[in-house]
Amino acid sequence: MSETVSAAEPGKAPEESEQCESYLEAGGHTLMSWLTTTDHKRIGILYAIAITFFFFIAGIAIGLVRLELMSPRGLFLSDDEYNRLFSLHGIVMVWFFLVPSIPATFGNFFLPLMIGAKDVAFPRLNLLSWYVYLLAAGFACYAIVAGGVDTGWTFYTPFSSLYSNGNVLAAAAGVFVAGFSSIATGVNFITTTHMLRAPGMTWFRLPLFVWAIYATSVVIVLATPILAMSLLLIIAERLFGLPVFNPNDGGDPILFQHLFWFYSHPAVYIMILPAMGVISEVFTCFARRHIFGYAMMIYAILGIAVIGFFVWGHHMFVSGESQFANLMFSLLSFLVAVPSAIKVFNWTATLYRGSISFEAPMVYAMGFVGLFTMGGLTGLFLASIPIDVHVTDTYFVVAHFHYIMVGGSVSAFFAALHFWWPKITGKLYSEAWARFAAVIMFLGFNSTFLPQYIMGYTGMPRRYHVYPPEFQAYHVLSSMGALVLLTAYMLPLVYLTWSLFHGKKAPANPWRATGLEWQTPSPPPEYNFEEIPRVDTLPYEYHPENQGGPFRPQGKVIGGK
Amino acid sequence: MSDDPSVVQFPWPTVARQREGVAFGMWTFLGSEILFFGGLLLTYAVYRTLYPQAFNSGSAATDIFYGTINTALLLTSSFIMTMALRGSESGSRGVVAACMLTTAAFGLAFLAVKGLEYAEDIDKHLVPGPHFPLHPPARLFFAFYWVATGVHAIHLLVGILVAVFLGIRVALRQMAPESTAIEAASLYWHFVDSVWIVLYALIYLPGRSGA
Amino acid sequence: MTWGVLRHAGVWILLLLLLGATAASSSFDLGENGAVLRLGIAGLQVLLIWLLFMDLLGSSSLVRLCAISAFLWILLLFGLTFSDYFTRGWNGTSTRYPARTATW
Ligand SMILES: [Cu+2]
Repeated sequence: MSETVSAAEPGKAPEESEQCESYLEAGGHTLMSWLTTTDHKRIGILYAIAITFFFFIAGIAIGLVRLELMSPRGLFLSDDEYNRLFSLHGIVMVWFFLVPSIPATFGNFFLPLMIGAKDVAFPRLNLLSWYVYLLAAGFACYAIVAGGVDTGWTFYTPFSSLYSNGNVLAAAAGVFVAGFSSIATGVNFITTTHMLRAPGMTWFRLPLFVWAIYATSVVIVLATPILAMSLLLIIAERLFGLPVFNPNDGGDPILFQHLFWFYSHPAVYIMILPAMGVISEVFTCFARRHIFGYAMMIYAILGIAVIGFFVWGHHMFVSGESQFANLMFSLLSFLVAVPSAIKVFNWTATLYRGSISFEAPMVYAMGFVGLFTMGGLTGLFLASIPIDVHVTDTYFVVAHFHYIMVGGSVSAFFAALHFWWPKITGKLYSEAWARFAAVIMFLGFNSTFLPQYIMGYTGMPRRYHVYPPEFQAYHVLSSMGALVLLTAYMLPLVYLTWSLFHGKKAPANPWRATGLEWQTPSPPPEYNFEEIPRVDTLPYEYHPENQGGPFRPQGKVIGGK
Repeated sequence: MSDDPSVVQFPWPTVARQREGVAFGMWTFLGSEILFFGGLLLTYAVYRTLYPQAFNSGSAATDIFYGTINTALLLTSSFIMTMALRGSESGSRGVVAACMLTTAAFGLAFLAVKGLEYAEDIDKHLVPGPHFPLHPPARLFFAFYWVATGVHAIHLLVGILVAVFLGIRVALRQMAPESTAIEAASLYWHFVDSVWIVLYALIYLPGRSGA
Repeated sequence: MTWGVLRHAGVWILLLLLLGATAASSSFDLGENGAVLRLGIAGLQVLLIWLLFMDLLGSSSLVRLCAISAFLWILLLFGLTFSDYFTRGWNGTSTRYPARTATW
């Protein structure tokens, strides 16, 4: 990496400053100083620690599942244990890792930095939302320790409300409370983006990561309450016997699915939109190009956020929804592919004639585009009713959404982690190890999930641990891939931690990037900027014509140098 | 209302900007709340469409007397809350404290009446269960009744706690009467009031004409 | 200041009158019109509170946008959900929910 750290532009990229204390120093090193902080950067790190913990909890659960699936008769789990493990994996990964992953960590850390603000709009609410997340996590942990849940992550009624003997109450309460944490964060980000942009930072000068986080926040605020209500109704039914979805009293279990998917389809965009924002930052920086179709990218982000609300019925093609509704939701689902495709084409066009270099964040980002495209295209299969009827509840569906959520969101999470690590910690990691991990992750991912497409299409249903022997080869391949993937996920834990203690000191702008966050020292001072910067240009001005330099920052940061 | 250091908070540059931001943030949150109750109303709408008679018979079994009294209480509390906000705008500490606490008192009165009503409902076995007196789909109505009024009562309780907290802090001079928290609290209070207005129309009024 | 209080007091009286009207209307048999009337009055009361007590009238367009988009999303939720319920059994392949076998 050190070879890419040029001496930067005189007067553009500021050097380390002696006089302003970094956010890691200011306020002290004590545990209490972290637990009572209202600094958005520290809160971002608090979130990062919490979600990493849950990432590995859910990872262990799925590791056991993959081990179990090595043999067609199962190896060591009972039916009930198996159900509880994959449910645990789904619930924890979705609500305790993926939903908060990029927004609550990198969004928290970088949204104010990128718009030139000193903090988010409501710093104390920001800290509160972390504690609310911890409370939710407490419920979830209780549900796990007390024996687990067996409903799958979807909590379908009437099984969840009437029949399941797992800890549905604790798990639903956990997800319900986690929703409040998301909403608080969403409200905070929306208000921040509207109210605290630096002078000159107009809406059409915002970096796409900011746009993505903003759109995600809007989706969070509008969708999460419906999830909260649907879970509350399950809780009412289980706890007080109030029959909301009970067919014996005339209740309609499909109504639950409407409510659930009204949230949970847009939730896919809560997970993928921030990832798309990251990719736009990384691609422009490492291809040294401005983004192709900046305005179109914004419209695509907003289009995805809005149209994403129109398609939820595609999860219910075989569950008793009317045929008219099936057709309508199918059509609408095809529509949402358009803005996603626009984004992929624009990224590709951004690379065209760029001077591309393959630093670790770029390798992760490249992986994202390939895997996201695979996941997106198979999504079109599932939007088409005849094919969906054939592959409903098979591994085809499992492979599809893992390509989006793991291949897409998690790859982008690692891209973001490597891109911004020098800024967050002030340390440089080992570039060779990082690239190696990125490649391993890509290979491991494909060998885990590609076989799942095939076995799903040929009939292997999801959520069974006993299966016909002809699927064994695919399952073994998939489990082996999972092992590789696990290794790839452990590697950054090691070399990034190592860099904290032994890494070289990072300059303010190691990638020679244009965003405001790179113009302030690494790690940033407590209030981000000594003085609110003034923004006078578009984002991504790499190779700006008539400017003489190889890149042009969005604004000058006073006191940064 | 200058940039009073006791009102303006980090990271806002000015009180005016902060006021704008707090109102906007609160409305964003209320947007979320609207959808929260919207999901509940959807279950009502779907089941009311499927079982109109059962829902009418369910409504007829509720106590309209309590419901109407409570609506009047909340409407009045909202009016008093507007006076608290006026007091805040003119910076009069006494008005803000008095109106906040009176508003909270009306909220408490609402909860007390609601408690009486709940006691009667339980007495009449109107909780879906073994002795429920009406036909099965009316159980769906009463499931809605308990969830909706319960969730509303929790919202109101939060509003009461906030109003008491702010009222006392203003009275004890720990908080400026111009604090932007007053406006945020008032927005929340009015919203909870307006939820009740809709619930009143859906729960208490239908099915009373004996048709 | 007093003028503002008077105006809010007027709104409060109006709200109480509307409450009286809607409560009284419930004892007359108006068929489905009754439901429209009740919801109409409730909507009017909510509108009064939102526009005048919560001062949406005097707010920035940004704040109004919040309220409006929440309602658009409610419309979306209801519209698409009912597009399922209203079309169950259109072509005879799926049954209207519920299959009415029970006594009720
Ligand atoms: Cu979907």
